[in-house]
Amino acid sequence: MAKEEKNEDNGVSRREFLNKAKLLAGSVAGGMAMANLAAAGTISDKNKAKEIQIPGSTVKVPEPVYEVFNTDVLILGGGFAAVSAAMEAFGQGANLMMVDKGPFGFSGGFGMNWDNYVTSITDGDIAYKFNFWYSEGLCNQKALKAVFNHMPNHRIMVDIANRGTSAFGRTKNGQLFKVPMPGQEMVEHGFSRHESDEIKRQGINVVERTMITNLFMQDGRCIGAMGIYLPTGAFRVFRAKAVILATGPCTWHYGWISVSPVSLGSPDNTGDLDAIALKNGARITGCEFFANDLISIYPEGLAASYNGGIGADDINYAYICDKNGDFWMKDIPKPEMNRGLFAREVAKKILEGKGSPNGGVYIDCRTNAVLDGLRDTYKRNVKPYKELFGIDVQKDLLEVAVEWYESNAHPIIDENLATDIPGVFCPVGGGLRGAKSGGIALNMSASSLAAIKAVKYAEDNKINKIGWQPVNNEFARVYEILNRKVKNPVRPHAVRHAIQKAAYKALGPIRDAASLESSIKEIVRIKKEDLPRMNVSNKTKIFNTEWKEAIENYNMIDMVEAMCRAALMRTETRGQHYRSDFKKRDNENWLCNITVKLLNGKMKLDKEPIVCLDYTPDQVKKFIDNKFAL
Amino acid sequence: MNVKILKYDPSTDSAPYYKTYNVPWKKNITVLEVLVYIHENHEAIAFDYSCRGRVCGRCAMMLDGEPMMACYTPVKKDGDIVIEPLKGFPVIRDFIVDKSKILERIAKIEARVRSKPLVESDITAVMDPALAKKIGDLEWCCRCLSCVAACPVINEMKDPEKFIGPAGLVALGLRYYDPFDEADRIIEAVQNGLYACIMCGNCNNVCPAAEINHLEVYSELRKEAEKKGLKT
Ligand SMILES: Cc1cc2nc3c(=O)[nH]c(=O)nc-3n(C[C@H](O)[C@H](O)[C@H](O)COP(=O)(O)OP(=O)(O)OC[C@H]3O[C@@H](n4cnc5c(N)ncnc54)[C@H](O)[C@@H]3O)c2cc1C
Ligand code: FES
Repeated sequence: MAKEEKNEDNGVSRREFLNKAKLLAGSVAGGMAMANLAAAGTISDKNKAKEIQIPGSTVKVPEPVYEVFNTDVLILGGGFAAVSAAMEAFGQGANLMMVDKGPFGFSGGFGMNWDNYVTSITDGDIAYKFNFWYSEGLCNQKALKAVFNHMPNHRIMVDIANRGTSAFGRTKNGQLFKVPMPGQEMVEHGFSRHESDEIKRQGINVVERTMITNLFMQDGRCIGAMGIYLPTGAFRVFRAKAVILATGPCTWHYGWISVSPVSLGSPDNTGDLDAIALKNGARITGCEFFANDLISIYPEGLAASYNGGIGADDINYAYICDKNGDFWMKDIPKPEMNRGLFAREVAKKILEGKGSPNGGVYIDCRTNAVLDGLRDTYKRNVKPYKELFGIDVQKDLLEVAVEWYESNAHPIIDENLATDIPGVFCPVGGGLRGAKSGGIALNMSASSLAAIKAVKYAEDNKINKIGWQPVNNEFARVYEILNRKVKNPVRPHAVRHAIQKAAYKALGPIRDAASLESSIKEIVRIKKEDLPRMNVSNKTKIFNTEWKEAIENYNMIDMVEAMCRAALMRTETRGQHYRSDFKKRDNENWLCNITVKLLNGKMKLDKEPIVCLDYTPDQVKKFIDNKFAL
Repeated sequence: MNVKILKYDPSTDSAPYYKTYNVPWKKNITVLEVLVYIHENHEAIAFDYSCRGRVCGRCAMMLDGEPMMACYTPVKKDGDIVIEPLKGFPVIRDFIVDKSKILERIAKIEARVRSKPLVESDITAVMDPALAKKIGDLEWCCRCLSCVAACPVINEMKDPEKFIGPAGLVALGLRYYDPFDEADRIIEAVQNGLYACIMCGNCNNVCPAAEINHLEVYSELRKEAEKKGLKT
């Protein structure tokens, strides 16, 4: 039982805390001052009733008060994609603003200050072909080509160096350490902190700790976005002429251990804007594809954490073994390895009954050669694992599981990186990856192109009138979630874990119709029975993490449903989508994308033909059935 | 185990207060797991985290009076513990603190100063691997600001204008070693309180990045400052 000791002194003086409280007021006011610079002013809609009645509910929500911001190009997100878009738009002289759910520079995958592997292009034509081949034919050729044409020789490492990284990995004699790839080369030791520092140095306007909960739509066009300032619960409206969606992958969806899903991703990665785009009429695609590493799952508190764990991937895989100590992958030549094959190999082992007790396999780090060859991020965990957690990888095999680090589910885009919603661009949009996994480099090149397109759109498309009804509706929706009183309440984290469990059961490295159907059934049940009685137990507006969780759940559940439905529909194996009941790639029926659309609250799935430019579908089939050759 | 935590919601509480919860102990349970347990099984609390691997810095807080990373710190035995928000920062709610005052300054310091942009040949040129390692080690600073919470000088002075604190000095060290940076980082270090530091090493003890040797960085900056006659 909890024991309360309100106002107890306990060594910390009351005065000290009052001082802190004052400081807080100061800092929040500071944030507002920054906001007001760009704001059209805080408005209270006086024509509306004092309270908004939620249809079909007795919940009363307060009279809406909005903090209104105004910009031309609105960038949603504060990760790799968002900062690249912001730097490009800023360089074009655009009036822009970024909105980040987390503390900027510390949020999303981007906010983890790890040793990034970054890829630069050496030959744009070969890199384009390779990316297309790797997508197993599903990429939108026009969109992918547009990105490579935009930056045919994108030396990302030079950009990154100019933003502050000084010491990429070196060989023993001081040469730059490069990993060659077709048309590309990869270097290590990019650190993302420099990117956020650069945004601050340039003076780009970032509105942080603000969670976007909906797009601002008018007559079918997007004219901004809205959401909650988490530290105070204030409702913010962002007006804009063009919007860029860069809110990262859907990775917090996949299972639940004790503090995280089976993902190295961030709790910020709840796929909000993908779900929001879907709800606003956009088609999303790529839902059945994801990307993975193999990462240790014990101690539970560090499970699946790339930075807190030890693991392996499609670049370093020789030390992966099954339960009988068979290093079955080590003979696969590096040029033939890719994430899809990697995931499928693990899946096969597990199906053969040679996996580990928790549905993974093992890594063997007992030799110095393996230890020395580990990525620095993993290597730095070896000592603390032993000293803090009593796990000695030099003595014992380590169990590792397939986690999710990226998802491909995003709004479908065209060669202008424009989504189905006029005014909304998506640099990581569905169509750029196909069955291939995403990563920093392509995100950055595409974001720069998306920014150029968005800046142009903002110049060409004025907004003539503005109606506040969608804002009032959204305000009512999110405040209803906070103030809701229900008979048989269930807390948001419990609903979330049910969603995550359903995703984990069906969307793992091995998929089949039965588990997908059963998870879809469970998702439909959660939507019907659990979401309406989801109850935020503490009604505070100040950094209410439960309220945030509850709002995110509405997004997460739609994305998991879309992922399960698309995975069920694709009755073949391609990329990391491995169907144990359809083990072969089937180009006759499945050289196409699957799109998901919401129609009257129901998901409608369609086959979407691939968009061709350089290769006809027949040429694509031949091309991808062969090994990659120049 | 009994877990006493310091709670505060400025919209309802006149001052922060302690509350104690029972949490089942397990081998290798992390402080973050304890917080999640309380949030899910007792009552909602506000805390923040992301990476579970001491690289995002968001989960820094106090365990039994010492700063640490909740994600990466195991609770060794089934006893009583006290968890509080990171010391010295304004509390937004419960464990969520506002670090912006120092973070903004560090971001500005660590931005490179240079007249002309780098070109590819600057980067591909040979770099002494020892220098690359020296810089690379400092890159692991995740700006959790545990060091600031543990620093007796900054806690006494409370004025980052006079003393930026350990994380800021590490950022200055990084740019001092950076062969591409053209600013005088020694003057800047002295201005930012290089000699206010008493070299107690608390920062190094609480730092989650084993790669960073704080005292070595400060000593090298001081040696250079002395050469320039800048010792204060
Ligand atoms: C630990 C780790 C290691 C990796 N290693 C590599 C590597 O070495 N090389 C490589 O190429 N790739 C790597 N990846 C993958 C790569 O980091 C991701 O592909 C990349 O981070 C994606 O960038 P992003 O901008 O799309 O998303 P993120 O960087 O995750 O950013 C998403 C942003 O959106 C914000 N956001 C989310 N929802 C909202 C909302 N509702 N309102 C406002 N803002 C919102 C978040 O706060 C965050 O700022 C790694 C990823 C991780 C996590
Ligand atoms: S969660 Fe990132 S440092 Fe602890």
